[in-house]
This record gives sequence, C-alpha cells and structure tokens, in this order.
Amino acid sequence: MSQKMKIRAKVKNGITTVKAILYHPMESGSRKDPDTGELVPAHFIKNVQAALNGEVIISAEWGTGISKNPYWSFEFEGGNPGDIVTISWTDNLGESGTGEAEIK
Amino acid sequence: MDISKRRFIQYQLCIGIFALSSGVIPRAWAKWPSAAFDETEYLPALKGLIGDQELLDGHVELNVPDIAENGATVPVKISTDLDNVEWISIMGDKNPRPWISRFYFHGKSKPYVSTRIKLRETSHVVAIIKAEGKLYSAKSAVRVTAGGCV
Repeated sequence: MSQKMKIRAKVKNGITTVKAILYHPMESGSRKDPDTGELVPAHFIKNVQAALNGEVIISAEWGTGISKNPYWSFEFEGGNPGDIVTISWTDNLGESGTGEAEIK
Repeated sequence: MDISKRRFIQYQLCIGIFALSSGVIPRAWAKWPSAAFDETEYLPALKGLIGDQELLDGHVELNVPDIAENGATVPVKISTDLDNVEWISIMGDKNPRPWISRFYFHGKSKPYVSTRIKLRETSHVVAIIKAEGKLYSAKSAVRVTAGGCV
C-alpha cells in the first residue's frame, strides 16, 4: 500500500498553516465489494500526530467517519521558514506512515 | 476473497493486535476512545465520549455546507474564541458510527480543525470543544444528496 502524503506549510503574520492529504483507504468495514459482495475489512487510520521540529503540537484520534485519503489542515503560532512540520499516523492494522514539510 | 488473501488479512490483524498489546507502538498512540467509537447510536456514543457532563452553547464556530452532493467527502471547519482548548471532537448523528474524530491541542497549536468527513445520510454534524474542564457544542444540519460509504 502506498504511504505517500502531500503536506505543505506556510507562515504568514506569525501563523503557520499546514495543509495535508494522507493517502489511505479509510475502509469502515461495513462497505461491500461491488464485485464479490463481501464486506471489505476495516482499514483506517486511528491515531495521527503533527509535530513542529519534533515536538508534538496536535494529536488526534480518527474513526471510520473520516473520508478516504484524509484531508487535514491546522494552524499554529511560532513557526519560522525552514522549520520542519511532521505528520505521522498509525492505522488499525498496525501500519504507519509519515511525511514532512519545510515551512515556507 | 481467496483463502490466501484472507490469511494475509488475518496475519495483518494479528500484527496489529500484537503491536498494540506489546507496546511496540508508543504510548502516545495508544489513546483511543473505544467507548465512543464502538457505539452505533448517537446518544450512547456521545455518552461514551463525555459521560454525563453538560454541553454548553456558544463559542463554537462550526462550518459545514447546507447541502452535500457527496456524503463521502463533506468539508468541516471548526474554530473557537475559547482559550486553553484541550480538544475538539466531531460527530455525525446518523452515521453507523456517530463518533468521527477528536483532536488534542498542545503547545502553540491553534484550536482549529479543517477536515473532510463521511455522512451516510442527511444529518447533523456536531462539534464539541473541551476547554478548562467545560464542554461546548454546536450542531449544523447537512442535507446529503448521495450518501457516503460509511
């Protein structure tokens, strides 16, 4: 499975805005495969963290109600151009992914 | 599904359970509101999240579309003028699993969430904010013209 992530961070007037897309199927476990008629097993991100230069600033718990290929945007104070924003996740099957961006 | 694929998924599940139970995943990851997530009705799910604590009105800015053509991706934005926000949680009162997510704010993060959620049918999106021990909420109706696979 692809564990790619698109992430951008931009600072303006002291506020850094991060926009990210995490590529993940976010299967709820209650959707049927249209070809086989069988339920597609649940496969979804449960925990996500965002960090600034390695320090966690937001942590989140996600359920199956977050859309496929989740979009997430957040803001924080105190970021400078060149600082590193990292997003990392783990899902219900124990898989994980991470992505980072330099603040522009 | 053929047997090998099923085996593979079982194998993955075992790894997941092992990783969670053995502490391979750091403790920070382990937090998970099972009591809310496991419920399939809104009120029990809400109770699983906040217990019997009272929900106050005001201070919650919830931004969702009035009409969603695609229930699989409904944009949600939540912000607040409250200080010292501990978390923001999102629920959908008609979803098969009404509890959707919760975001905890630390350090210099702003109490703001922007994401996309699934809504099975026309329903209310509920935003709940915990700040200084108190809970605030706002809800907004979204008419869904094509339901999301939730």
